[in-house]
Amino acid sequence: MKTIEMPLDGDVTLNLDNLSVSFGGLMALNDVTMSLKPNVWNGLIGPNGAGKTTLLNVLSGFLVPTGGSIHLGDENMTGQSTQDWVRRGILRGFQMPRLLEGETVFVNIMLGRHRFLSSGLGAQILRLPQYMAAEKRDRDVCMEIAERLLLGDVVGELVSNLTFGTRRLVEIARLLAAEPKIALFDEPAAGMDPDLRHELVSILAEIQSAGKITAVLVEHDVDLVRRLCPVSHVLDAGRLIAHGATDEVLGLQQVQQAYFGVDHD
Amino acid sequence: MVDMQSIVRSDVRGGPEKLRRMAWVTVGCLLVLALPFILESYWLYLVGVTAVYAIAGLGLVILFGFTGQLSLAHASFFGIGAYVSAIGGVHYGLPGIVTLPIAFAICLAAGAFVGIFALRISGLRFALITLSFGELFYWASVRWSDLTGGEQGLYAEPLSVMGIDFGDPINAYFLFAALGLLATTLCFRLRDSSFGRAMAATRDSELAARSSGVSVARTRYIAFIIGALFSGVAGWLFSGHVGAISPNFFDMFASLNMLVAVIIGGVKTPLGAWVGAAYLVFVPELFGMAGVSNLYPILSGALLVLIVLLLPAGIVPTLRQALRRLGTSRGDKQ
Repeated sequence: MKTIEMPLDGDVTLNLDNLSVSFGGLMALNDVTMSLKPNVWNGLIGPNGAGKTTLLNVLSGFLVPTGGSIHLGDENMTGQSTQDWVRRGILRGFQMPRLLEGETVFVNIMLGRHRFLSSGLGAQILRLPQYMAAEKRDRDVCMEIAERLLLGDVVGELVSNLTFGTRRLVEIARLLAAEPKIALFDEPAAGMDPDLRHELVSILAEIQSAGKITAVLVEHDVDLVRRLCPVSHVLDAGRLIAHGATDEVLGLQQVQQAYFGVDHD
Repeated sequence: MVDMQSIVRSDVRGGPEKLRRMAWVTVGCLLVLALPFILESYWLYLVGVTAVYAIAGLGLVILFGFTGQLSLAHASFFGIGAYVSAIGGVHYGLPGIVTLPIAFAICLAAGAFVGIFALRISGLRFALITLSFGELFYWASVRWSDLTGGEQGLYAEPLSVMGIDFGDPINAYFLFAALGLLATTLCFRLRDSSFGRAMAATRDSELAARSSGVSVARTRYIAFIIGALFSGVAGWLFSGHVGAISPNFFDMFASLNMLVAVIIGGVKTPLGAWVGAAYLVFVPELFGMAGVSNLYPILSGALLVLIVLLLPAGIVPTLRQALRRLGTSRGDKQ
């Protein structure tokens, strides 16, 4: 079994150069260039169909770009598999939470630890000390994350019995359990009831201010982006139309026009 | 909230759940030890057949229940084990200790070959590929009659391993009990391991699996091979125990029967394989005892429909749920 190399020590920039993705004739991403600086949270905004989720798909290996390149520091990540992305600590969430429906909350969170696995199947079945020690550590980490995400009371519940908001928390817990270096959130707060949403936002704010991970946050809620992301990138019809400090970007006329349909004159 | 705590614990394995588990294991062990002194040899023989089918069923639990992969060739791997054991014994005079590794190696190779398709194909299309392998195996077992005895099949010597004669029902019983226990433990450990989580992810959500760094193809492949090996070892035990084998033990219907058995028992739990195997072996027997064995083909279908309708998750999970409910209503309420 392959050992996990983790060359990313948190200070590597992810550079996207002239990235394009086309589906047939449709350019889902058109010549996008941006760089994600270490430990900075980036808002990724734009109207529906602007290519936000497509970009996340590319940045997690689910889609291979049809043009351009992606570099993580010096390493060329273009066309690498999902496993390669995860191995380097770049992990994503989904707009609709993707969970193991037949398993408990705890098992779902533990799945996030998969990328740290260093024992083979034999060691796992024989329960060799080295594997069991790692498993114990993983359990402790996951329990801590569960508590932090208010899931402490439901770790033994089947995921399929949970409400939508709680399911979303489980997915975020799984993501955090993987200790991402770069986390890609796809509308993490959408569809949650106000209380839970409030909790989630403060948890994310806490993680953000700890300053240890880079994040890309696809989000429609502008206030949330303001609060969590000092930097924002705006996509419209597959093109990057603006980027920079969030407040400035949101004030730009072309952004307002593309995003809110507001026409100033 | 006390209840919540125990649920939490059950997942971290400790506390009252562990005690309860140990109690069950102790009861189980005592029963296993006492059985040969209670049952007459024919019933003991049937328990042996149950253990054999349970071991094969455990392979299906891993493949289908844990990984979500349908196989219609499970009985073929069972057949490989059975024929290697029987042919080795009858034609070449090989003892069990030699035929076991041969059966193991052939099942490994065959599993590794058929499994290649699982790397790219999943779901029903993969099931069809296993079906064609199953048909191929059936065809070969009929056609290669010099070795296999064709449709007639062949007699098999009782297993004899290192001087111990497993033609003796009590010896056989303990061999099956030991191997059954080993297989069951393996299955539990697989489920609770990191690989077990990878299998569950492969079954429930490929996106969740891939986005957590799990290789879905590799997980399917390994699960398929493990399933084939369980079935092969069970087949190796089977031929010596029943004394005669023929191709119809290993055809598509046999594969379907195995599938039906684990679904009845509970496909996601190792114990489900045991309950399913017991169903497969004892239900026809009970019809026979009642003197209505000719009703079996009709009523078994109705019984099956009834079980699937009333206990969609299988017998074991339903029982477990009922026990838990009983436990909570006995303990503190709310």
